[in-house]
Amino acid sequence: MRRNPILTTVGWALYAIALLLIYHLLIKPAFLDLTWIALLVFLPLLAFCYYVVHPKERRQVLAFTIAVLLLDRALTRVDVKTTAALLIGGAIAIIVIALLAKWYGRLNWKAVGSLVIVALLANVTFNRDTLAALSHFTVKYESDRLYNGQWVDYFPMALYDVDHDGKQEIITYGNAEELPLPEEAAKKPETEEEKKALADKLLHLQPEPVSLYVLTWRDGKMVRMPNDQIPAETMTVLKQQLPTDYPGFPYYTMKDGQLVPNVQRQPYAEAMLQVGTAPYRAFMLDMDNIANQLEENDGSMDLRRQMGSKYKDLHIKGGMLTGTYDGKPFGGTTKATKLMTTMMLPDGSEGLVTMGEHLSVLKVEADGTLTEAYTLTRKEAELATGEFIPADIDHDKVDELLIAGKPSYILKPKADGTWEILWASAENDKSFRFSNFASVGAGQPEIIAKAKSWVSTTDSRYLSGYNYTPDGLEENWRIYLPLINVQVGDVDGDKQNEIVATIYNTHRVLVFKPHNVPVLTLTIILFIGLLGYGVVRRVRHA
Amino acid sequence: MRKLTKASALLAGICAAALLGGCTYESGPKSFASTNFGTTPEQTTTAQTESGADWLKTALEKAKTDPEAQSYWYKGHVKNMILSRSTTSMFNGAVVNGKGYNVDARIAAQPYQYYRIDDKRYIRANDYWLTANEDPLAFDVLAGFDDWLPFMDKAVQLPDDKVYGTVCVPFQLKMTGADWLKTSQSALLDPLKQKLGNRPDLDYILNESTIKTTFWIGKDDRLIHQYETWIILPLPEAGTMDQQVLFQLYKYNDPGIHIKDPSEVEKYLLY
Repeated sequence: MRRNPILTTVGWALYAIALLLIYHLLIKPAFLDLTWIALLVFLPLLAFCYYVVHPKERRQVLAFTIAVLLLDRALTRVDVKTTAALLIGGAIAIIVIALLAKWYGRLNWKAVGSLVIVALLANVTFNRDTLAALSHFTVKYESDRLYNGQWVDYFPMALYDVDHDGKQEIITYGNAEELPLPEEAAKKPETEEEKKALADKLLHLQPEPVSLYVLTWRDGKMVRMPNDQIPAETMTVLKQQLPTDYPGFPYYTMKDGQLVPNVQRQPYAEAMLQVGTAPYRAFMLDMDNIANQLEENDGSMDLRRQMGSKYKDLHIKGGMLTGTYDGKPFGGTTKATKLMTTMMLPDGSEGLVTMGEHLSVLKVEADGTLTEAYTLTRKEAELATGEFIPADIDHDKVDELLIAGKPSYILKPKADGTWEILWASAENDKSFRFSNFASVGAGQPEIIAKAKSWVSTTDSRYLSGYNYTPDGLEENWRIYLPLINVQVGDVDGDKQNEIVATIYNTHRVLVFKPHNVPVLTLTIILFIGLLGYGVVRRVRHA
Repeated sequence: MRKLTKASALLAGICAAALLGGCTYESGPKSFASTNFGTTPEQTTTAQTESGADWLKTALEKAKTDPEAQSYWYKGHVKNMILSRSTTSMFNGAVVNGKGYNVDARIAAQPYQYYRIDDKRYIRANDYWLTANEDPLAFDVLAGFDDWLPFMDKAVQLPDDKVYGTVCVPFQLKMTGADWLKTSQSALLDPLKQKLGNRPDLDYILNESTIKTTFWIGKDDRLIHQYETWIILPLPEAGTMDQQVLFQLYKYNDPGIHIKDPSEVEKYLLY
């Protein structure tokens, strides 16, 4: 019986699509999360798949399967420096793998054609990062690289409604428009002048332009809002929205739209090789930076126009914290250098979270004085590199404090002024880190954290959503990408929150949009269906 | 056969559950894992008869005169930790006293090499060798160590510790930045001293800061093997900056130390 050629082609193509879905959504995450356990599960499954195919067709199916996965991977990995290289590299990958599959698998051209087309489409029709998130999200937007400089690994990022239109803009730093990427094959200097010019440039660390990038969703596209269209006053507010960060400190300072180096290669190496003086010099460099910064801020440690619902005009200067709470002025001494956030306390008041050497939750008394309602010392937790997120995770109108550190904690403030530890990360888990407490999509607020795989000892962290239960943190979803700078907000104006994040050292902004399609379940059904089809076919053949 | 089928069904069931079931991250121990903040270092039971100052003096003297202490490897870094960001500069290489040194360096993620021999100095950046053209600082690796001597009488001796296999006697100093500035004679601190007086904001920072320096001096060879300073400063809008300055000097007199001949660099020199 001669089979319909179109049906054959479609059959192979469907098989290729199923393979890619199963690989990217089931097998890869299983290995990322479960490592050797996944191997234990999949080895017998693989053996089963091998034997379920009739020996006559085995070679064909095997060659096709490997070729699809290989070509998909090869096309993803093709060097992307120039378009020409991309096209040539892609073409070579396609020809080599297609011919190998044709020759070794003795496949017909219909099968080879389907495998090439499916692998190609899988690489050009959608953002590949979607595959790492597809169980719950699609990638709605990925920016180009926003920073073309040499050394900054990431800049802070924030969401803020700049133009008061009900959707939030993405705010970060960059210089892609101000600083073109160095040309791929820079001309080799030949004349004496060219050599001298290049040497002068390379001898010194150079300043780099850097400016605020405000990205806004307009007419179905993410575009940069030109900085000259943002009023100066708004600019100041925007800079305050960005989390405090010191990229390059103390070697670089951000001033007047530039990252300016404070040290140079030759003198700094020589200075540090006077080893005994190294801490003196490091200390002086720090103090120089701090002195300049304090001078610019008129001696202020921190200044916030508004925090939480009741605090306004907060100011730390000369060891004093002043401001207004519910319209009434207050003041008191403090050793804090940072106003962090506010949190609802068990007595119904709003506490102000500050940090100096230790973390304090301050409360304003009726007479305008400040008392320290709760303290977390450096003895109890690593505060210097920690992050602190207030979150009412048990819905009792009192905020818990999520502490991202090593280990991470969920602390509940008790009426007697102590903390109750509701949850702590495992002793040997160095990578778990809380990042947000927010609703993704239109759901209830959930805990968002970076967590490593359940079994693996590597520290790669994947963004995960959790609900708190007395038994522990229950995982809702996971994106298999090492995301940082995670922000949650509505950036496209559809009243549902997206996840906005970057990947370390890529300077690309990614926007993940949640969807409600049960992708994982469908893929499992597809997998089982495929196995079932294999069994039925085998039985019939027999 | 039937048993086998049942067993494999069970196994498949468990595997499927493992794959599909939502995972729950159970809580670790619900108590604060105490950090080493503020812990007074454990004092050694075998106190040396000589003071910390004497040990440091001997080490500096020996480093100058002992013919076996004139070449060594070193590894150093300055690591700044502010909130969740850390920025590091690094310096690794070898020193031959009186001759020169090489440095594999990195400042804020940008690598380079610095090579200094006799009166020749070159930098390698972006795969080009270049002539370093600024007036050099003195070639004196031990510079600055004697600035600690006025503090060393208060140094606390810690239990013996190994650095690259060498048993060392550590001595530790702890003070505020304000105390450091008051007592230190180092000219490097002068610009800051001059700034103070009408800068109460800087006084505040110095008073609230912590400086902790530790020397690891070889028990037998009496040479400096490790040198660490922690600088903790209040930082505007950021809590504190924790900075570690760590240098290790090791494999003294290693026959493998060889600073290459300048001609090997000069043939690749761009300018």
